[in-house]
Amino acid sequence: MEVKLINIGTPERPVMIPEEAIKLSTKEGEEWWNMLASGSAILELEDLDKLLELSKGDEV
Amino acid sequence: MKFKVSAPGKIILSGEHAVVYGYPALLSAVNKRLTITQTGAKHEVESGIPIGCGMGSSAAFAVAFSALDLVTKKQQLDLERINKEAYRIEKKIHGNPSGGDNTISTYGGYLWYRKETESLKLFKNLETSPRLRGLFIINTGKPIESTGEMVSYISSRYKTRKKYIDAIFREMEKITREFLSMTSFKELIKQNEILLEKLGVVSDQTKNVIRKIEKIGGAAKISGAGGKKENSGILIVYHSDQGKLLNFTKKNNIDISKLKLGEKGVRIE
Repeated sequence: MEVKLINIGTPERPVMIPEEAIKLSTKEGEEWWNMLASGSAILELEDLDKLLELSKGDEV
Repeated sequence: MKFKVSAPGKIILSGEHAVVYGYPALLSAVNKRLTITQTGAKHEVESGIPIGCGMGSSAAFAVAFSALDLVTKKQQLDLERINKEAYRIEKKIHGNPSGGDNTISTYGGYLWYRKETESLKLFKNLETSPRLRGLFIINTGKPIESTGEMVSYISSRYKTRKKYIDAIFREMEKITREFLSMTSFKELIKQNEILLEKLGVVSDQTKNVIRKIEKIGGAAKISGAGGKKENSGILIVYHSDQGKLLNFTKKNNIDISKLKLGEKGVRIE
């Protein structure tokens, strides 16, 4: 299964997430956010803020 | 030659949303499994785990796939090895999985999980395996909001009303701990739902269904991120009188299925 991961952290402290996680309304994005909300995926709060900022504009 | 393995999905019993902020969550393996059959070079995947609603379908696949690899090489089902390999697969797909889903799908039962920091995650497999009868799942339907929007909603509430939201999360932690004893299940589900409603992740439509279930003597809570406009996803429902509950769902045309907690982990079929 090919999934493109992107780094929303820094080169020194990489935080890899699937590219689809930025697109809130896609099926893959939905799956990843579900994982986050139930503890199956993990982000520091500062990275969560960063990701929420990046994903703005894809909200329903 | 034919090989067949299966691995279970999971459900979050308590701690949704709170887990993002470092509070504990309690997960249980459930009686919805994913099966991979290999006949020669052909693979067939069958799954009873709903996709994309936080029930661990992708981890169950990773676990079953890792187990199948060992089985076809005529090696033993080494659970530690399977769990490690499944986590590696999950990392490739999801980037930063906590490891909770693959752990519970490998070992089954119940799992206590808490994020301390990104590099420190606490997992505790629980020995308890109560035989709870009268548990069901109701799907209230896919929420209008995406899960990302629900997480974003809690995040903005956490920033503007941190004390209030932290207080809710602390109460939720108490309930998560009380769930470990698996007694007063009905009351704990009820209290947990009240807190989720205070968080604002349950729609009026879903609250209405839950109040009706309570009125006939049961209890229900959302499981997962929820939804506040229309549907709120999956509900865990408990009723000591199953007949009463099934009558209610039939009358109201609600889809319901039995839920067994503490399901066994990966196995050869």
